Amino acid sequence: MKSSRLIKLFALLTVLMLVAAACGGGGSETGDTGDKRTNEDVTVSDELNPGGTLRIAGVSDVDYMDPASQYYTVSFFLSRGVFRTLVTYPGNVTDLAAQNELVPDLAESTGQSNEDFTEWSYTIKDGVTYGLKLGGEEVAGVTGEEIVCDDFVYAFERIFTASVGAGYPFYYDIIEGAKEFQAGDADSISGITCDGDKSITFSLSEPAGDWDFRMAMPAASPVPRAAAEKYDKKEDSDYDRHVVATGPYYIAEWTPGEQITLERNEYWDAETDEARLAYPDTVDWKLGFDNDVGVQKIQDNEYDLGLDVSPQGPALEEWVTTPELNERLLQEPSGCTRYLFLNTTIEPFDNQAVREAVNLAIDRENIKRVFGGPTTGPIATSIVPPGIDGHLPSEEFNPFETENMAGDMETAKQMFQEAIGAETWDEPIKLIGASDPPHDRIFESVRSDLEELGFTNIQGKTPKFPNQYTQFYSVPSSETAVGSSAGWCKDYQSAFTFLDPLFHGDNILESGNQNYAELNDPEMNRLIDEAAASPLGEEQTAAWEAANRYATETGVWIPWSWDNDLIAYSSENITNVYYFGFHSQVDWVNIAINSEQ
Amino acid sequence: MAQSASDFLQGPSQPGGGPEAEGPGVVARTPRQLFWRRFKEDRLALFGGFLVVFMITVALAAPVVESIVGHPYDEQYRDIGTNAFGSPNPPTGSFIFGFDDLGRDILVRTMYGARVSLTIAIVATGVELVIGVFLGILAGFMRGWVDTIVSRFIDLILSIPFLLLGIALSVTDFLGGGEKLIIFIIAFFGWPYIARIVRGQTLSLREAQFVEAAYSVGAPTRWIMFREILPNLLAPILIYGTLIIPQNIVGEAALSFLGVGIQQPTAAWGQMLAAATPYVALGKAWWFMLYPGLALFITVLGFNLLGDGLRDALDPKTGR
Amino acid sequence: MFQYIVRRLIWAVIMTLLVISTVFVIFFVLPGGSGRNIEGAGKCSSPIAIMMAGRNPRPALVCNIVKRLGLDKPVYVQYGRYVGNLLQGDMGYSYHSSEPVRDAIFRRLPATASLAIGASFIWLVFGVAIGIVSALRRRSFMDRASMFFALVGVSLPTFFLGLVLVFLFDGRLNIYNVASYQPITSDPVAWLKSMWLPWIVLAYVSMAVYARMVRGNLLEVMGEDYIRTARAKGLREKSVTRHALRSALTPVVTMYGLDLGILLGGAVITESIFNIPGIGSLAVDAISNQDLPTILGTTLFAGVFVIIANLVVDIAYASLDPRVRYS
Repeated sequence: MKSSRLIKLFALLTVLMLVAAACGGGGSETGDTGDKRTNEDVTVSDELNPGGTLRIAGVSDVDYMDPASQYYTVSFFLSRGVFRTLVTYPGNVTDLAAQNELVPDLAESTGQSNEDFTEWSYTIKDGVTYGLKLGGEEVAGVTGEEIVCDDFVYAFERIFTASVGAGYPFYYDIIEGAKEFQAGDADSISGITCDGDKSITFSLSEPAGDWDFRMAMPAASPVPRAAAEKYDKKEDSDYDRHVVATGPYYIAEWTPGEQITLERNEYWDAETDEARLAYPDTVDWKLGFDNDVGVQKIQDNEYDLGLDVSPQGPALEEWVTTPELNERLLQEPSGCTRYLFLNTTIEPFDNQAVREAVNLAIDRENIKRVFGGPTTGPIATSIVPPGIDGHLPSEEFNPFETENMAGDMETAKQMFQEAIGAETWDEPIKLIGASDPPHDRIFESVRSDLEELGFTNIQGKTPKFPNQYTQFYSVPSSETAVGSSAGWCKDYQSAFTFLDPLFHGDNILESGNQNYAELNDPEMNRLIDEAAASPLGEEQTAAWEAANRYATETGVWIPWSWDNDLIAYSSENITNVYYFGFHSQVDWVNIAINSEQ
Repeated sequence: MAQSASDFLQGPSQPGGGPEAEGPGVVARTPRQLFWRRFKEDRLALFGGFLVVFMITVALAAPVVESIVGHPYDEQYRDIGTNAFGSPNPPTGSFIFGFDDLGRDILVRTMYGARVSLTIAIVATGVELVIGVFLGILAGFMRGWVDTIVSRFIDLILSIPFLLLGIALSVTDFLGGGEKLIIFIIAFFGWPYIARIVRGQTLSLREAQFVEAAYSVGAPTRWIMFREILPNLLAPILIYGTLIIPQNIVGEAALSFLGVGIQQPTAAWGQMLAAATPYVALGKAWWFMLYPGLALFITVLGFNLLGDGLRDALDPKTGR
Repeated sequence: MFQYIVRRLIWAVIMTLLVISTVFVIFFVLPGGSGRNIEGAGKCSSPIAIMMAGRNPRPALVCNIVKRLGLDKPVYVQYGRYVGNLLQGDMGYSYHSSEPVRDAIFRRLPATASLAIGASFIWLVFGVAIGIVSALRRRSFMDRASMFFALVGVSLPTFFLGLVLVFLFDGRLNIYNVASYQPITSDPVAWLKSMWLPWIVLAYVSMAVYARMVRGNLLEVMGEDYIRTARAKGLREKSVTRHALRSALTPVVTMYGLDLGILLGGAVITESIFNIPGIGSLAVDAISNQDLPTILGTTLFAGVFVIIANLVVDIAYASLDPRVRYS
C-alpha cells in the first residue's frame, strides 16, 4: 500500500495557477494596484516569541511523506520543517536572489568541489540527531542517534531502488555507479564514499556546478537504514508511513486528504540550525479545502495562512481592491510559465513562419485578463520566468511584440497566408484545453483567435483538468496540434529545469512526454547541452539566456503568463511572513504567532 | 431525485375516455372533443402552452436577434465586456442582458441556449419514448421472464447515480462527447419511467375485451401488441412525453452545469450558470446567473403547466 | 415470504455486481477509458497511471505504477480481485490520497446525511401538510396559493434556486456563508447555521412534488367508492378523512424511502453549490482525479442505498399485500 502516488504536478500547476500572484501596480481600473505587498515590505526578526499554533489551510495533500518520492511543492513545503539536508536555503532572508545563496544545514559548510565540479565533499555536523517517526513513536536505535555518513549512502541507494519510486532520480544519476546500482550490477553506489562517520564525498560522472542545489532538495535528506530498510524490502516500500524527522518538527498525525499535525521535535537542536527559527510549537494543517472556502477562512482569520489556497477570480478582485485585504496578500513571482504550445510534428505547425504568425495572432492580454488580470503576474514574452538563471526581461527580449501583447491580427494573417499559400487552413486541427475555469475561458479565447487567423476546422476538446495532460499533451499519438492549458514550474533556480525536459529532442517519449511541442531541433539540443555543462556563474547564465532566446524564437510556445504567487494570510495572527522562492510559498518555519491570538 | 415522482403519477385507467364520457343525457361527444373542451378551459395549461410557444420562438429567433443586435453569440467583446480582472461587465444600452466572463452578449447566448436545451430535451424524449414504449409493451404483454428481465434492468439503471455516470462518461471518448453524450445519458436514465407506465397500461389493456377478441380471431401477437394495444396508448404516451420534456431540460442543464457535454463556444444554460457560480457568493454579476436561470425556469414551468393540463384534460380524476 | 426475500436479496447482489461492472466498463473497455492504454502510446500509458506519476511521468515510473495497481492484468482479473476484496469488506485504497476508500466514505457520510435527513424531513412534513390542506380545502385561496408555490417548485432546478439564494443571503445580505460547513459533532450551532439554506434549497423541489402528489392522491381516493360508501353509511368526516389518508399516503412513504436512499448516495449539485464535503463531492473529485477505487466505492455506495431502499420498500409491500409476491 504505498498508497497513492498521485502526484499532482497537475495539482501543482492548478495551484499555482490559482495561486496567481501579483505583480502589478496601479489602480483597480487597470487591475493593477499600486500597493502590493512583496518581500520588500517585510521586516524579518529573529527575536520573536516562540510558541503557539500555526493554522494552515490547504487544498491538496502531500504526494508522499517519504522525502525520496516527494515531487510536489506541497510536500517540499512540509519537508522544509521535517527533513534537513546537507545544505539548504537560508531562513529569514527576504531578498529573492539572496535566498538562493545556500547555507550549511546538516553539513558544516556548503559543498567543497574540485575544479571541474565532479567531486563534492561535505562534513556532517556534530550534535544533529534523529527525532520521532510519523505518529510520534521512537524508533529503537535511531531516535536520538547522531546522523552519520551511512544515512546519506542509504538515502541515495533508496533513490535508485525500484520499490521506493523516487521522484527525481535524474538529478542524481550522474553519481558514479548509480546506474550500475540501479541495474543491480553493484551492491553499493561507488561514487559515494564515507571517511569516518562524518565525512562524505560524491564523485560525479559529469560536471555539475549546481550540485549544492540538488543536495538541498528533500530527496537528499538522510534516511537511517535501521528505520527504513525493512519497509523498503517490500515490493512496494511503505516507509512513507514511518518517516523519521530530523527538522524542528515531527509528523504527529497524518490523515490523508484531511489533516497533518506537526509537533516540535525535541531532538532538534536550534544551535545547529541557522535556517529555521521554528517559533510555533504546533502546526495544525487542515487539507482538503475547496479553494474559495479556504480563502474565506483566511479572510475571517480562522486560519493563519493559505498554502495552495489563494484568491482567484472574483475573490481575487475583492482581495486586491480592498485595502485591508490587499495588505494581507503577499505577491511574488512564482517561477512558473503558462503557455500554449504548437506541435511541430503536425501541419502546418511544422512551419516556422506559421508558428510565428500564431505567436503574433494570439491576444495574450485577453488570456491574461480572463485568467484574472495583471495581479496574476506579468504577460510572458519568453520561456524562462523571472527569478531563474537565463530569464530575459520583456524590455530586453520580446520577439513577438505587439501592443499590450494583445496580438496583431493583420500582420499575423498576412504572414499566415503567405506561409501556407492560401487564405485559410481547412484541414482539421486538434485544439485541446481543459473544462475547469479559467481553462475553459483560455481555450475559448485561443480558439477564437485561431479561427480569425484562418483555421476553419478547429476540433476543440476540453477534458477535465488534468486530463488534457494525461490523455493528450503527454501522448504524441493523440496528435494534439495546439494545447491551450499547459504550464510548467521550476524545480530550482536554473533554466535547466525548464529547457531540458521541455525542449530537448532527446526527451520526446511515446507517453509521459513533456516536450509537448515535440521539438527536436539539433541547434536547440546543442544549446541546452552546452549550457548544462558550462560552469555555474556568468558563463552559464549567458548560455541559458542564449538557449532561452533560441527556444522562444522557434515559436513552438506562446508563453502568456509568468505567474505570481498570491499568498493570503492573517496579518492579525502571524508575523515574519515572507515569500520563499524554493517552495513558491512562504517560509513557514520562520513564521511567528502573534501572542494575542 | 424528484424524477421518481413520475412513478406515482397515476396513469389514466381508460385512455381516451373516462367515466364522464357519458354525461347525464346530453349531446354525445367523442373523447377527443371532451379532451379539447377541458383543455381549453384550463387557463394555467393555456398559459403553459403560451410559455412553451414563446420559448420555441425564442429558440428559433436566436439568429435573427443575433443579426439585429449585431452581436454574434461567440464574439468576445474584449475591450468592453470584461474588466481588468476578467469579471463580466453589467448590462448596457446595447447589451441589455450584460456580458459573460469572456465578454460575450448574454442576451444572444441565452437565446442560443434555448436551442440547445430544447433540441436535446426533445430528441432525448423521443429516444426515451421509442425505447420505453417498446420495452414497456413487451414486458406488459409478454409478462413472465421478459417482464422480469425488463423490470430488473430498470431497477439496475435506477440504482446507478445519474449525474455521476454522466461525469464519468464525459472523461472518456464515449460517443465523442458533446450533445450526443448528453442525449444518451438522459435517454438512458429516462426510458425506464416511460417503460414502467406503459407496462402498467399494457397489463390492464391486455385483459380488455378487444384484445381478447383479437386473440379469438387468431391475430398474431405482434399484431395485437402494435396494432391493438399501441394505438390505445398514444394519448398517455403523448402526455407523459410532454411531462418528461421539462425533466430532460433540467437534466441537460444539470449535466452541463457539471461540465458534461456541451463544448464551447456553444451556449448552454447550465454551463452559463456554472460559469456564473464564482461570482454568486460574492454578490457580483447577478445578470450572468439570472438570465439563463430565468430562461430555464420559464421553459420548465411552461412544459410542466402544459403537461399537467394535458393530463388533467385526459383524466380529470387526478386534476384540480 | 422467506423465499421472496431470498429472491430479492439475490437480485440485490446481482445488481451490485452490475453496478460495479458498469464502472469497470467505463474505465477499461470504452475507448478513452482511463484504465486503458492510450492508443499508440505504448504499454504503460493508461491515463490513471500517468496522472499518478505526477510531474515527471517517465515510462519506467508509469510502468511501476501500472504494475503496482495491477492495471496490466486483464479486466476480469481486476474485477474478480475487486469483488473478492469487497466481500471481505475491503473497498481498496484511494489512488489519490492512499486512504482506505471505506474510511473516506464514512468520513464524508455525516455531511451528506445531515443534508439528506434535514432536507427530507422538511419536505416530507411540509409537502404532506400542504398537500392535505390543499386537498381538503380544495379550490380555496390556500389551495391555489400552495399549488402555485408547488408548481414553481417543480419547475425550479436546485442549482438555479441555490445560486439565487446564495446570491441573496451570502452575496448581498451576508446572513449566510457558503464557506461555513461544520460537522454537528464539532459545533451544533455552526452546523445548523451552515445547513439551513441547503436544506431549504434541496427540500423545495421535493416538497412541491410531494404536495402535488399527496393532494392528487387524496382527491382521487376521496372519490373512490368505498369512501362514498363510508360517507353514505354516516361515518363522520374525520374518520372518513383518516381512511382516505391512509391509502393516499402509502405511496408517499414508499417514495420517501426511495428518495432518501438516492440522496444518501450524495447530492452532487447541492453539495457543490454549498461546499458541503459529502459523498457527492467525493465522487465528483474522484472522477476528476481518475481515482478508480474511490469512484467504485462512491458509486457502489450510492447504488447500494438505492438497492436497499428498493428492497425495503418491496419487502414491506410484499408483507402487506401477498399478491405482490407472485406478480
